[in-house]
Amino acid sequence: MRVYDTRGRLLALAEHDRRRDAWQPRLALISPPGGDDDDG
Amino acid sequence: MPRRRRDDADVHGLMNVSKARGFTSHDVVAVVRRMLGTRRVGHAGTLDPLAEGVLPVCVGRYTRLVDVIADTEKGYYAEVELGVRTTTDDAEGEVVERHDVPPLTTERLDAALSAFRGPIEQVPPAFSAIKVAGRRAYDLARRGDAPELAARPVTIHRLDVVRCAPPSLVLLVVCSKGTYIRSLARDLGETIGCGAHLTRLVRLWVGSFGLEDAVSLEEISTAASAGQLDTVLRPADDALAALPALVVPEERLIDIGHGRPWPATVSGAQSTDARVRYPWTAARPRRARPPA
Repeated sequence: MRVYDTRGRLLALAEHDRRRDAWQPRLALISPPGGDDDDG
Repeated sequence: MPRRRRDDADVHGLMNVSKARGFTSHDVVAVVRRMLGTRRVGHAGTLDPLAEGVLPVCVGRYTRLVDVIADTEKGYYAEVELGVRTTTDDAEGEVVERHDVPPLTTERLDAALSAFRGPIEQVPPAFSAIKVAGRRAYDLARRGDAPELAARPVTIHRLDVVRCAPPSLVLLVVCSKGTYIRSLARDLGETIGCGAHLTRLVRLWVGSFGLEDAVSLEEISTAASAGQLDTVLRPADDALAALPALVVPEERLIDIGHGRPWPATVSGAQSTDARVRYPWTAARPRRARPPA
């Protein structure tokens, strides 16, 4: 699953964890705010 | 404020590079690194030096997509010479044996090919980059100590004859990650009973990266010099278009950045149909810069 924010920015690829009924990011294409990767 | 590495240029995206014969895949990455001024460059799916065609190259944050793209289906145009076995299973190696090619009727050829369609077990070439006890197989093979490599599961989705004019045989191969076309040529030769090797290989596509819109290193260099890298960089959406999409609210950004799961019930709009394109991706030109 491609995961976008509402501005159309690709954030990550994620898988559905059926057991927890949750989305698990498998490949984040952004860093958390304050991280050392400036992703705009 | 974290310090940015000096060589860490603010360039992110995917390139569909047309690799010329004679370059290694790493040569291409090294050239792109120099041209873009960043070390964050990686290729998805190695092409042998003698092979040419599509080599997806990931730049900046999208280097994280290397494995995802390398996992996608690949298409090849392959020229095979029947009746000649070589040490490397391609034209780079020394000729080991020559045999007459038996008469090839359509039925006999199709029977031979059908053994390789679908899921198969394939032994990689002795001259391959596979590691054996910490050493590259080709290093061992060059010393005359070719290792016995274990067969690996691969899938040949399509195997069609483009032209058959013995000893020349031209094939269209559509296959999974990890398939060696040199091995396919070698094993097909054994099945026909005369041996064979690969004489030319062109990769036609890797997933959504097609040769028809691949760019040469010269074109990338020209674009970089003119400050027009956006003409050779593709948005990641294009390469991943086969996957369905999900839109999440802004507050999920922190969870995602930290790799934390979030409840599916609060995910927001989603589409399980990979063909659904959101307006912003549909409106963007094919080679535009990805979202900043």
